[in-house]
Amino acid sequence: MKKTIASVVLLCAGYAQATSLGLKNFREYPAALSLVTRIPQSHPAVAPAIKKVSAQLPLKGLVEEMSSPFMLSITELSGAYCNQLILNETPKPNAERVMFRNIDFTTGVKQFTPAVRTALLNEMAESFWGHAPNEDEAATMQKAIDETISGVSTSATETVNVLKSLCSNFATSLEFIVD
Amino acid sequence: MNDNETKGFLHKGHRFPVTRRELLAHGFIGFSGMLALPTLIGLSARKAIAAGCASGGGAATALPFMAFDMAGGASLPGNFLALGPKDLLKDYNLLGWNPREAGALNSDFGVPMSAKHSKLLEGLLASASAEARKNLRMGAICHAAADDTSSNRMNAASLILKASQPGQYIGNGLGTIKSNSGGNSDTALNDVALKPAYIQDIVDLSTATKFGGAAYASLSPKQLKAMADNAVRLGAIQAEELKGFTGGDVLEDLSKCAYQKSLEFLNGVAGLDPRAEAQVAQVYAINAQTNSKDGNAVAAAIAMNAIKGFSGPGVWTLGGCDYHDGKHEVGDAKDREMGVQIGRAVETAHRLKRPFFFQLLTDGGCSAVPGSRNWSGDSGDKCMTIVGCYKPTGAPEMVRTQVGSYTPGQGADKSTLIGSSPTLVAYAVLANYLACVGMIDRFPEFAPGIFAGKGELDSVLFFKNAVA
Repeated sequence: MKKTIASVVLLCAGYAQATSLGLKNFREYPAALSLVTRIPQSHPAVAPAIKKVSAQLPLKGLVEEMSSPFMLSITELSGAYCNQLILNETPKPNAERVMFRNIDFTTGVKQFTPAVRTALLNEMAESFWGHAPNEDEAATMQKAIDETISGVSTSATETVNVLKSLCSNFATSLEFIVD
Repeated sequence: MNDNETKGFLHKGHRFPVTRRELLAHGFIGFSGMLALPTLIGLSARKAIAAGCASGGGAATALPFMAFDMAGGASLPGNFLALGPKDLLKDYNLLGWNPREAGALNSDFGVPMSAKHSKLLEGLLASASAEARKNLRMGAICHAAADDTSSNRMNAASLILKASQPGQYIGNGLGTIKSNSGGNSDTALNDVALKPAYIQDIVDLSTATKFGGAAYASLSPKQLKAMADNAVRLGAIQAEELKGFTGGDVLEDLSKCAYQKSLEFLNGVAGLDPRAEAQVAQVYAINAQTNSKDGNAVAAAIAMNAIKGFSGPGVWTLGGCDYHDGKHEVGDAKDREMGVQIGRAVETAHRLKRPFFFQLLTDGGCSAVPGSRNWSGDSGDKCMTIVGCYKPTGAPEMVRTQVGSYTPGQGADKSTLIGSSPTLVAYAVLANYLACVGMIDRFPEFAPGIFAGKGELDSVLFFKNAVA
């Protein structure tokens, strides 16, 4: 009888845990970014940012710890990771890249054709979310690309800006920060 | 898991583990990263946070609040007079002074202080002008508390935040300790959504109020805004999808606020650095060259932002107050340092023409070598909490200067209403805060069931309910 009760309690706890939301805490968020980007937390490009913002990251990972300082901190931290990710991927042959496999880093924003955008968004969504974006998510990301490239020069720097901006949006999305 | 193990894991073709359970299962984080089941957030707290967002930051806090925490068990009854139920105690030889001496008392601030021995008073007098001091009144709550611990749940900052407006830019407030209260002693209200932001460096203020960072330097302001706008849109889409889960509603409210706040912080916020605010810099003797990590500059940042309403409640902790080393010199120095910080905060409020309310707390107390001010040991019943209210328009009217009492044994009488409960002390601080803004009738709303017995609420008040 006691074993049955214990099993039921464990099952309920497991079910509750499975359906309860939490946030990645101060250890989990950088760990997850490191896994997605293949940049270790010890890398000099990201380690100072982790140290700087970790006090503003959730301590316990409760949804109630969602706050403006938290959002600003993960924006800053994801910027450091995304920046280094782009630097890492730029010299690699397309097939060897972790991300941005269909991007030409030597070309400007004219390369963001519908096909390139769709492939890029699917690739980034798979990396950060584990699934392709749904229709609404894809639409808003497309709008973000439009707004980011509107009126900019043909410089390849603007390609980097698009990728950095998208990378940050994925890394600070609820889908990524929520557990 | 180290970097080589990470590479090995990924080489085997595993999908990136990005959820908490996946990270745990594959050893990427330790057990201490385990998910804690979400607690139920107080509905009023959630609404307060959402309301703060809806107003776009809202008006400045009506009555700025700070908690000054002396970590370690300072001797507050060695600075402030502790009375028995009716009058002076028979003896004060364990409390470090004799209030019956001629000229022993300074009653300028309400509760009498030791005119001859209180270094806390000395610090206050040295740092707050006569004009500021004229409008400051303080009361003493006599109670016991556990010694040398962070577990006394008597920090009232979260209670105050729940009952007042969030800060205009840093909603929850600022504290120098990474804890739920922002200070050494614990918060009376266990709600992590109300936890102060941690600050040890003035630069931390920009982290909390500037969208972006160095990595986005190549983006134009228009592109940065596009990124922030997209974060808001994506957040709304995904919050809707997550509503079916436990905590989804809470997440929707809080994330909407958090993402939208980013738009306010696109250009950062000016005016948060006390080194650049002439009046405050003068009070705290800092300038543009003062190191951003300087403890005094950080104290200035906490006080200034709380008083201006840019942040929620400020919590400033002074360590090393466990000063029972058999002498008095360390205790004197710590008491004076705290007096200076309180005085500076009051003076800042005075110069900025803002009201100010504070709680001075400590974990326990200490006992003196009889007849001296040499502190010899911990004594949790020699605890006290001080409540202070400054009004630029005139000193608040007091109805009493002491709540609770001490026994002939020179310790707090634990049989009084709040004599044995640090948590009730925090609620008494809240009650006095509300009285100072003329809102004591709303106390039951913020503290249901507390001091609900006949006359109990009135019995913990120092200040008459202010006329709005």
